[in-house]
Amino acid sequence: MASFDDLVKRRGEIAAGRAPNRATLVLGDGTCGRASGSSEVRAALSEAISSLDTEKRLAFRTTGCHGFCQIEPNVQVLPDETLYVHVKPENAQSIVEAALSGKVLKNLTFKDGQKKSCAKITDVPFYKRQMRLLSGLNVYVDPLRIEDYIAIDGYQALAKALFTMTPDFVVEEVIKANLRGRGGGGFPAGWKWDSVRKAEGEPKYVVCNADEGDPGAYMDRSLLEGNPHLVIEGMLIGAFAIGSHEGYVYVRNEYPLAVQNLIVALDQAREHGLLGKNILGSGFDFDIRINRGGGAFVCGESSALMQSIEGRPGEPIPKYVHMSERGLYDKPTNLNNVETWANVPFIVNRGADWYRTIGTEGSKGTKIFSLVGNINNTGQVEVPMGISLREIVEGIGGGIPNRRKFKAVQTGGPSGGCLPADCLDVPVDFDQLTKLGSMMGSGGMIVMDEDSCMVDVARYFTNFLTEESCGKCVPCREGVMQLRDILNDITQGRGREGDVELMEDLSKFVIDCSLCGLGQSAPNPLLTTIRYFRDEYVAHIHDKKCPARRCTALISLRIDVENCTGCALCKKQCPTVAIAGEKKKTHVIDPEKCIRCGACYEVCKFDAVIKE
Amino acid sequence: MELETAKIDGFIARYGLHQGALIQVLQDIQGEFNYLPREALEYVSEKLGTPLAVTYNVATFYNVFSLKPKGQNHICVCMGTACHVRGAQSILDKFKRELKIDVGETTDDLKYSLDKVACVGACALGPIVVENETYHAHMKLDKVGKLLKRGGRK
Amino acid sequence: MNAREHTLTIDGRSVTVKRDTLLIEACKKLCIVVPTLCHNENLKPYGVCRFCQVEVNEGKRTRLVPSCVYEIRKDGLTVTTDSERIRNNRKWLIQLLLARCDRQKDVLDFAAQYGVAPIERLTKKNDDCILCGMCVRACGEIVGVGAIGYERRGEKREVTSPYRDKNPVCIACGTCVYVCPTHCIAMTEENGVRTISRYAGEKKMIVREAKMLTCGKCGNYFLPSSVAEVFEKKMGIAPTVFTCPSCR
Repeated sequence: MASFDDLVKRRGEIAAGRAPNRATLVLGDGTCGRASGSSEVRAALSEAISSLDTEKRLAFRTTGCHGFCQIEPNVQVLPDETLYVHVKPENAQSIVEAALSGKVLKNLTFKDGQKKSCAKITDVPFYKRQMRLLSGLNVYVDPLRIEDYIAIDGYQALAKALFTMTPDFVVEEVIKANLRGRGGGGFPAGWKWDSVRKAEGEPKYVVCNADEGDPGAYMDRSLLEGNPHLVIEGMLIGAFAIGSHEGYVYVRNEYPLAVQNLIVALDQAREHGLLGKNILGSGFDFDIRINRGGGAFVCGESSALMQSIEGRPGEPIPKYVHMSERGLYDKPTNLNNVETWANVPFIVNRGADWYRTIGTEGSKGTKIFSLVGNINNTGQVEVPMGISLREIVEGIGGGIPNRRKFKAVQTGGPSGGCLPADCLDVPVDFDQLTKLGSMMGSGGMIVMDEDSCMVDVARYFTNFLTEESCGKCVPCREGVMQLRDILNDITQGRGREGDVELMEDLSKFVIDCSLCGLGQSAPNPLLTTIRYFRDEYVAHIHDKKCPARRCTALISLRIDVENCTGCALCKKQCPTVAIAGEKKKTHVIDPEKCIRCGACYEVCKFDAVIKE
Repeated sequence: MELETAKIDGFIARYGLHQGALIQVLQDIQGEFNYLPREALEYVSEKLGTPLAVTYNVATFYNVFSLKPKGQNHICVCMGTACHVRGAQSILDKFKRELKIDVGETTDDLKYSLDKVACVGACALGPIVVENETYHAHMKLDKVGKLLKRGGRK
Repeated sequence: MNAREHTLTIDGRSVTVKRDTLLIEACKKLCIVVPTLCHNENLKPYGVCRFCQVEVNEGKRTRLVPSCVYEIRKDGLTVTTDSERIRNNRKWLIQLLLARCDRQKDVLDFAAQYGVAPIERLTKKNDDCILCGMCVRACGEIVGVGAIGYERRGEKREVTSPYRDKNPVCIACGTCVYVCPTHCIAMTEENGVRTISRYAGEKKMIVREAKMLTCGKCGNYFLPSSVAEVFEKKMGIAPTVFTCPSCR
């Protein structure tokens, strides 16, 4: 395509080739989908449809994540917006027939808490309160077909910017919209663009941070896998505004499907004149390279990421001159997160004023959260900023499963903290969570029930950070490691008086003295758990007890005589042959041999294994 | 071992001969040979004109690289927060016991290697174990044995 | 871009420096010595030991910056090189280093200087290397061979030769030995062979064993042949010409 008109014409051609009211089956086939078995469903559906005669043929689209990962494999029937959950290959034929005759298969619909069938997506509690501005597009786009993206006005914003706006105006719109970085920093993207645009030096680079290292957060994976063109378009607009002609997408190695889909998308964009030289005939050149990460959380830090692109170990550099002046290869560089880039086409298409109608005063737009852990409805949630934690956890997440109680929600990944039930009514945005000691971060939201031990959670994060530290500076390498060792002691029954105070003091130093953001925020999970769950630390240290009965060194397992049926399932699983008992007679655990791995607890169907 | 330098030259050509291409080239080498042979690191260093110590630093810094061959069945237990909360540690411990190797090691017959990974981004389905390219969702302690018995076959 | 100058105040005293001057150099100009463990004027700044941190007020707020890395690019900065905050941080730095190598003389001297006693509760490591990186940087930047480097990351980070093997590119010049602040790299000469080595973990790691040349006049060993080869390559001086310092 060599002009704005070509794009419009192409969109028209694609639309003409698609009957508007023809039923479409949409299968979620992202990483989560495939892990649940969507590949087999895909094969079955393809076969079922291909056996139909041409007039009745249904459209079939495989896409990325639809957001409700819990119920995958899932199939949506458009335009009715019917949702089928936990779809199996053997359901394929009936789904096809039902779609053709306009019927709904009740047995495959989502059942809510009252066991009521929610046939339409809009009836499903998980989806009802969301505002799926960005993520909602995934349903309409097969990431391997650029035509799908063009059909839904894809690259319209790019054309609008290239042909009807000046770079200055684009920057001003982004500043006006108050688009803040979605990677965790929350820095106003427009100001960043402005600094880079004004900086001296060529070439200028735009970089997309797709390193998404926070465990439990996979919003960027869903966006990149499901709709790579949205991100590419955002980068194109940004590059035009800044005056950059070279872009990089830095994707972590653990996202192979995202890398594959991005490669295809970039190739197709180039074929269509949307990337490369003289884009859409505008005279603007820009292309994008992909760099895969090597498995290092620290590479999510901007200077470490650039070191990695330069082929070096991902060791952050102490920089007191901004990236916007000296970044990649010491040139002016603009780095933004995947979700930040994905917001840009919306701002250009509908304007900053429209964008400002969503969200709170200081935090505009929507945010995608990864709602996982001990929660009924796990998945990707997109909501306007300012919604409360309670709305997300209870309204959308459906509360805690197995009749357990809510204990804490961890936000902001390893740089964030754990917030207790008292904090549930806080509005979620860039600033409110920070006041409570945590942060919104990149969007990971891990819900924990009463069986979670908060000391163990602190130990988990501190251990993670010890392993991910680059090891250059003393405070992080030595300090975080010492915190981890003390926490190991505490969870294994070797806690000592004064440990909490020592850790608090050491934490303050690590925050003050570390070279980069990893070290500077490493003590946060520990400090928030001490702040809100100090009693658990006291129990571990003074009483050598784990109230949540999680820390194996502080619990013991025994078999309840009343409930044991002598089925011997536990005996089979025991790795240290610590369980003795004859068939159909009560079994007994030998505490000397027991290593408290919990295998017996997990397999027992009669609740006969007790943790104390 | 006879180093297939032609293959490595092919990888370098894909990204260009410059330091910035190093990590991508090493990933392709790891993908091809299932580890980073010493000769390959020496060859790449020579081509790039960088000291071996620098290349060695990159090779040992990133988790994805291995200086020893990985097993036929590369098992990765996800230790992300959501999986941790659902019991990933006990699953990792069970793999260690069954295979009698530690994280980062390979069995003597080169059949299995065990690794842990921070998060694969499929948190709704945790605990997750990735075996080569297959994602095993909702892992349970009693499924570990079954997975190992199948040894890579689905 | 002309050589601009900036004026700043350090501990109440005024000084003017060229733009992009390192803060630690500006302090030096006023004869203020900032303690460091990883800084050397001949090496690119590294900023990892965190000892040289000072407080800088850039107008809006005060923050702690490592003076060996911070470039002066603004007028009117106010710098404090000594405060309770700085001293507390330095105490913790020393305590962490003591936990790492509590028997190393230089670290103990440093601790005594600051009146710091070890914290028994901390895990001991018994590793004399404080990972200041001077050896690696000197070998790479000054000598230019890069015979040693880092291995792994985080708490497992170590300075080694590749594969912990002897590295033929090492010329046994001993620069790494001279710059090391904790003397954890050993240079020994025995039977006409100079050995550069250190302990990586429990095992002795030999980086290079180089035959020594004998003096043309007195016949004593005095220079590794590997260093002589460098002279020959770079300056065309044949090794047979060499005489030891006493015979010159």
